[in-house]
Amino acid sequence: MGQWNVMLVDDESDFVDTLAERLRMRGFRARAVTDGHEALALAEQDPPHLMIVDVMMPGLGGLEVLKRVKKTLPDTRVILLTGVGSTKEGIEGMRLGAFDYLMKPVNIQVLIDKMHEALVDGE
Amino acid sequence: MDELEKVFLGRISAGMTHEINNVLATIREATGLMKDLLLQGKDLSTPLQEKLVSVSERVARQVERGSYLTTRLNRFAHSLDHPERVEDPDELLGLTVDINQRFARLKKVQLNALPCSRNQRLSLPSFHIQLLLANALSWLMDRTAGGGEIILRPTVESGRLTIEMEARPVSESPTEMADTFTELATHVATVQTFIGADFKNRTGVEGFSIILDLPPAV
Repeated sequence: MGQWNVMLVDDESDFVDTLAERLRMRGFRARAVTDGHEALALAEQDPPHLMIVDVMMPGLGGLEVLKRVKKTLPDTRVILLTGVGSTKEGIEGMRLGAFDYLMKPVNIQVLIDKMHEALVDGE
Repeated sequence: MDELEKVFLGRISAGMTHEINNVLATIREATGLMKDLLLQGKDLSTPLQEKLVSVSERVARQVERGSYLTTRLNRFAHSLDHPERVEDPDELLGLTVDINQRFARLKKVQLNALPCSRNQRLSLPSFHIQLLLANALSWLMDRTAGGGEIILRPTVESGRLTIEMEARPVSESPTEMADTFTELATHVATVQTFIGADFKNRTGVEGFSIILDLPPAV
């Protein structure tokens, strides 16, 4: 799994930067992005194997990012991160093609296990 | 509280708990990163490194606890902005136990819910049920002997939900309890009428039960 290309999208920059750093320490090529539009533009330039996307973001929300990724980058897997009270959005996301959803705050090992599942599934 | 006020309170509380959870998620990642960095130099392990790892684990445990509590508070807040919610009675009572647990702990009473006899989802006025249960539990906790237990026992029959709250052992005589129970029933009479619920009491060998009977959803 050495150089899996992973993009993290969440408007909470402290959260997403830190998580990206932790994933880099574990061998992933992880990028942190804090805006849905920017994430889509960067993903088209350098398609990630996997995107981890927060559901509730200002501007372009996680479900909309998911819909557009599924259209333009069908090979990219998407895992959604939901907050409290957003389980409904997580379920809706799976209907729209998300690999799965996890509730924040998520244990790093749980996240990595889910990432492996998604990446193996995408091979 | 009128409907508009309730929805407002629910919406704001739900939004704030969501934000608090984001804060907790960030603290969790930052602590995790500190631990990762400390463990990178395994061969340089010192008592200070060990201490710092242990502190970061303590922070992570408290974040976990805080996150669980905010999740429950968020769920309670959502009971305010939806007058009727389709709910699993077990989930409803799980929330009842969580939001009343602190009061039970202060009274040194164990509070537990048993699973429902039937796996069913019902349309329920969750907020008003929680209000009635909280009042009944508070009254029972005041009369449960220290070290005692209150058990919530739900049953569903033809769409009708009944919740028995049994306290044992109790610190007052059954006659005294039956007398003061009338005060409790009167105190929450408006809410009972509003949702068509009925409060009854039953005296057992060791304890005392309050039974909340809810009509089937229309």
